[in-house]
Amino acid sequence: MFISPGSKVSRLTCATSRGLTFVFGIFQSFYETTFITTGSSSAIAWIGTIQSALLVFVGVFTGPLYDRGLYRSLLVAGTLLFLLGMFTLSWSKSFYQVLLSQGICIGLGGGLLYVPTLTLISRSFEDKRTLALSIVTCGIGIGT
Amino acid sequence: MSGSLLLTHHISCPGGVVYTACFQSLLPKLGFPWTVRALGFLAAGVFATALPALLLSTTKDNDLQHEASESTTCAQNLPNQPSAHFFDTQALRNGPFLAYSISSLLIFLAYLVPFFYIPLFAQAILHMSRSLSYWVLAISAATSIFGRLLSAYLAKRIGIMMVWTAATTISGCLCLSWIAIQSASALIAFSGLYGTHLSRSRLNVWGVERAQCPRLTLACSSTGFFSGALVALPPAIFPRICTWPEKLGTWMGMGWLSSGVAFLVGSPIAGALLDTSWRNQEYNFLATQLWSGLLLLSGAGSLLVLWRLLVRNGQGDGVWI
Repeated sequence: MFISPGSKVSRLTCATSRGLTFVFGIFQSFYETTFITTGSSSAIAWIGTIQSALLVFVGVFTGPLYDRGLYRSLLVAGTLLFLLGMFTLSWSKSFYQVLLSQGICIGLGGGLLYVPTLTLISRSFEDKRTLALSIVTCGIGIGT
Repeated sequence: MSGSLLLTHHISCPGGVVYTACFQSLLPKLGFPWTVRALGFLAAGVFATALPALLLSTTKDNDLQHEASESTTCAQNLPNQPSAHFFDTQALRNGPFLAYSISSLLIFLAYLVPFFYIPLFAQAILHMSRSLSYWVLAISAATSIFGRLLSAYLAKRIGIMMVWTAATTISGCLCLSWIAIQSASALIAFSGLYGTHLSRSRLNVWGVERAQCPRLTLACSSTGFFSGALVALPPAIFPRICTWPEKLGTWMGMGWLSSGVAFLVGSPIAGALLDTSWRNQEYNFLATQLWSGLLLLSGAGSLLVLWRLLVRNGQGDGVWI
């Protein structure tokens, strides 16, 4: 099984971008008990779910862009958006600011990164596709 | 080669709780802004390592661009052959694709719910400390690593659909058993198992009940099942559903659309259920737990339909896809 350097590092990328979504629980509980005490459970959950939904919604557009070979642009744009979201989140003071930075910006950035890394893998490995994909998505667990 | 990958993976395991660990230990010292900035720098560091390698892995990339430009040229020469679209209506007339979309809709409506509400449940119902409640979440995330690897291994042996369906069923049962949880240790066990596998006694019960199907029993009792499989396996089955490589990106994007809707609304619905059950300053998680458990079980039902369709269309090597 040929392992491209890409597969190892896409695991890292996946780890970083997706991991944050899966531990939204820590933010949920912190926001609910301390940070945004005025918001209800469901309002706060929207931040996390918009983030995870964008991860996959953006895939609708990045899939075809990937087919057209825009792999690198997707990666660069995704990284920049993700980091922008992280840093604007640190300056957030209220619910809508958290929603914009954590929900939308990080979600968009992660979405740009997610499908290219996965599609690349499922294309590159005919034989051990499942194993390769699982190793890549393992990054999510590691990232958390 | 895969050995070395696994090794790198296990070396990274101490990092398995990176975000959670950083968040909960830095938060009291640095406050929210600098904690998040620290996480941001961490992510920046990882990207700085990963991106050059991804961008410079020229052979693969050139192949891809070559493939892509070839398919575009084909499209120009032969008007009948569609080029890359954002939406392909042919997918909507494809039975397996629809079954796949419905399954992932049902499964992902429920999938994130435990991950979102375990820390709150730990603090509000079991009165655990904040840091311990975060570790409970970290445990479920970390154990799902093993779930993913084991499910990949099993999928290779007994077929993706088998592992995926069984993992969904068991995750659903686990979510329903969440209702009975009264103690911290039980919650830690639950979150670990939702991440990875079932306790031995539960497994045996489950295995014995279905002893007629030897492969299934083997699969259950040897390893147990995982929510990790629920994320790792869908992309792997996709090339069986979409048998045209040039449309893989488009169809996968469309397939993710249904998962996206589910990711978006699943947890807020669970949160709304939680809000409505707020009585006497206390949370009641019953509706939330039923929501996640029953949806996962119905998702498993619809996976059986997908499986049947794939077998009928011969999109796999026999029954064990």
